[in-house]
Amino acid sequence: MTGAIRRWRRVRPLPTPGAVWLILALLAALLALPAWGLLPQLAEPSDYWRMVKLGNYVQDTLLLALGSGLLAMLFGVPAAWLTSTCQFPGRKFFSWALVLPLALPGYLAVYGYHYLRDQISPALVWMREHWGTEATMSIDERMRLVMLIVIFGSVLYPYIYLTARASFRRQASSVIEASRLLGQGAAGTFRRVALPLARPAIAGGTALVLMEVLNDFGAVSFFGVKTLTRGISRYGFELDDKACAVRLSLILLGFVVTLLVLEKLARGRARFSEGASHRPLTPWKLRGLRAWLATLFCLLPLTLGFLLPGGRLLRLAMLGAADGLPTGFWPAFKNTLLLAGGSSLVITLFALLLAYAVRLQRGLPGRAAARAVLLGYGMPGAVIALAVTLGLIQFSKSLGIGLLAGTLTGLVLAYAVRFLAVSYQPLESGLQRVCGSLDDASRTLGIGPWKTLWRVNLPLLRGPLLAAGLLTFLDLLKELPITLLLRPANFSTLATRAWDLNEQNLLPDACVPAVVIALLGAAGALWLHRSVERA
Amino acid sequence: MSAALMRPNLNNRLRPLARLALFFSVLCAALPAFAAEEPVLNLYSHRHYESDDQLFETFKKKTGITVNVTQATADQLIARLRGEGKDTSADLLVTVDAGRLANAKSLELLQPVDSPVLKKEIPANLRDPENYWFGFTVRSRVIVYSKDRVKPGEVKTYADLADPKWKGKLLIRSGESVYNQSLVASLIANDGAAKAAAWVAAVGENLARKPLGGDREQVSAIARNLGDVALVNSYYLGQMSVSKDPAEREAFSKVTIVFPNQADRGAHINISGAGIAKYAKHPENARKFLEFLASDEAQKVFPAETFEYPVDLSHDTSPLHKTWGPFKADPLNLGELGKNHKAAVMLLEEGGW
Repeated sequence: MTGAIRRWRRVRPLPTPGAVWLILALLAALLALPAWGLLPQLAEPSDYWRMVKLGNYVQDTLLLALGSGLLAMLFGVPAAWLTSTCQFPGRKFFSWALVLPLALPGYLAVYGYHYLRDQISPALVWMREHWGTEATMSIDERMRLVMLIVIFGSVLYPYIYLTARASFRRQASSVIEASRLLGQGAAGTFRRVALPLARPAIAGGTALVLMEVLNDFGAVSFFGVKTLTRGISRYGFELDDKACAVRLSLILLGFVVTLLVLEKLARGRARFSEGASHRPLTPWKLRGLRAWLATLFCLLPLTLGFLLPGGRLLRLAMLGAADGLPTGFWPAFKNTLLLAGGSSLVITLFALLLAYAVRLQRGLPGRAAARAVLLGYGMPGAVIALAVTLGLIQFSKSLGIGLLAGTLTGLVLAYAVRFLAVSYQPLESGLQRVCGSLDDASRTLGIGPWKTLWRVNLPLLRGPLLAAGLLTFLDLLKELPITLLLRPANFSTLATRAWDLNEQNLLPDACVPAVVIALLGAAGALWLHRSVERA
Repeated sequence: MSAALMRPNLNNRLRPLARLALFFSVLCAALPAFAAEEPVLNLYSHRHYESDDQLFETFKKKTGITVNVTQATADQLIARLRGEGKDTSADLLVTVDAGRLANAKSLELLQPVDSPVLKKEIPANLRDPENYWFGFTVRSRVIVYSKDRVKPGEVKTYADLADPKWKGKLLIRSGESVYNQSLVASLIANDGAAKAAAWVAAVGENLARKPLGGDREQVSAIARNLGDVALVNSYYLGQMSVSKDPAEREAFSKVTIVFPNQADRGAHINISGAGIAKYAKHPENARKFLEFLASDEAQKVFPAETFEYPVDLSHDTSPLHKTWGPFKADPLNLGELGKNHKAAVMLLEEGGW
């Protein structure tokens, strides 16, 4: 009898614990909320849809996203390779300094590039005098796109730098050593061994970069470039044609889904777990010109993504703070810390439960959840804000309870929809990488799933948890569109303060909260980097 | 594969449920609801001026009413009002152009207010004929030109900007800006849709560059020789004259201001104004606040702090405005801007700038 039961247990998969279903249901509810708000709009007629120059929107969106993604890879991957496997002047400095651009979101970096944009004016005047107005106008237009690509590429490359570096230092290190013993040089090892091994990491980082680009509407507005996100905010909010904005959103969402599928394909079935012991690599010693070229190469993205715009911001902020901090600075500072801190805590906890639930539920529902989490991050903040508001209104009405829209609850929910992916990804890969089959072992020994999470996974996950929380915090610190739209009365964060002041055309004043965001962000980025390195 | 080896454990399946329940109840408790006991007034406002905070303080001293502000663009606020319906917390919708207020009225988001004070203090063309909204400051959309490269008298009217002689020399922000939309709406109201459409197309041909930045950026661009003539709202020039950024003060000193159409209908003006929300919880406080904004005490703050004109142009106290001299304003009722707003947006959309 008992033998029969034992055999039965062996062949049948375990029933999914009830809490797992609860967690997955919560996720479904969270993601259904914006859909509930948005989808009914699809049935509404649209005034502007026939006038939308869709080709231009799609073209600019794709050019910007692909250009920025490519540049971020060109900066991020070699920089990660150089700092983790080669010896050259400034290597130690660069290995941490290269994450600093994480502190500057695109919409703040453009404040710093404001003057650079002006400084090309003499060139434009010269072109106009020699080549005529028409030619100058079209060059000017292309230059704006290029400048935006440069700004995005150099502000966002750290996403790739961090993931690629982690891959080079961990998964690939023993293989790199082997390649070396077999006589491959630095370049050969990079091309033939490290790059293929780091492909999943690079694909993941690049996906993050592209999503950030697709989310932005501040920087693109500043340069007069019309991306889909810009169009959504224009038709959805400025012209109040929700039906049109929803259609544009779905096209954008189509891109995001394609992107995620491509990322999955790029990752392939590849799954590398860390060897039991990994020794730090003995770096290749670069000499002479090569060493200095490596230094210069690392200096370039750091300068473009942080030193240059950051320095400008700082100079402007000093003008702005010359006669005291701008009004409302301290409340905004406090609000930012509390809101970003509290929300990232909530979101990370939920992400942890979710990642673990997905690990327990390996059937279709779990796999679908793991993919669905990522959708929110691809939706521009402005759309999420609107969708969550509309969804919450429907929800409050159907339950007959007080209005949730326009409260901190609504804000945190919208944050959760968008940023769950940010804390989820490091936890998912952490579970896969760090925990390997240890929790399976624990459960084989008869420990329940939640005790296993507490006693086996959690201690192992300290690094990924910290990374998840910090990444979310950093993103919330910089978050603009959702906060701008959903903040309650009399509530400002540093980001909305910077935006408001710039809207009043007080750029120097706006740069004061901007610099504080950058400094907090920089501190966070460095801490993140250190913990990733140590983990 | 390994999941098949695991053994269910009922005790451990229940405990996490309890933990989850605890977690979410803490989460819900931690998200505060807003409760207010003292008299309040909730603004949904598109204005972001530091000096408005002083006005709120003065208002509180006089009436004991605390003013709460939710800031966003007018369109976002209107969308929110529509979504919230009866549940809205907004008492007063404040915008920086009349078109949006007229739009809010037509969407049935506002309620009329019967106030002899407002009728007396605010000129008829700056308020809704049916008392749904009222202007409390005035701004004009003016032409500026380069002191070095343009002779006085070369450009006098909005129509002049469409003259091919400015080909490659005209600087203007995008037609996506409500300021340009309202100007085009006024052209439709004054000259008819066909002429307005021709103007939009001709201006598109004259652009020195694809539109970029706000009004101030156009003035700066003249200083950098990217173009010779630009359109800008009057108060931006005032703000540039006292900017913390030396480059902006320098740019301001390089241009001359022209109030357009002085020989005929007058310069296009717009308002910053407000209307009481249809489902306002404190409509009485909102009316008091509107009357306060119309009072001399508040009216003299605007020219001094934000370089906006008071609703009665003859009561202007700004020294900078004095140097520009008095100007004739287009007497068109600003409600017309709302009526023609959509047509204007469509024209600009087709015009592609």
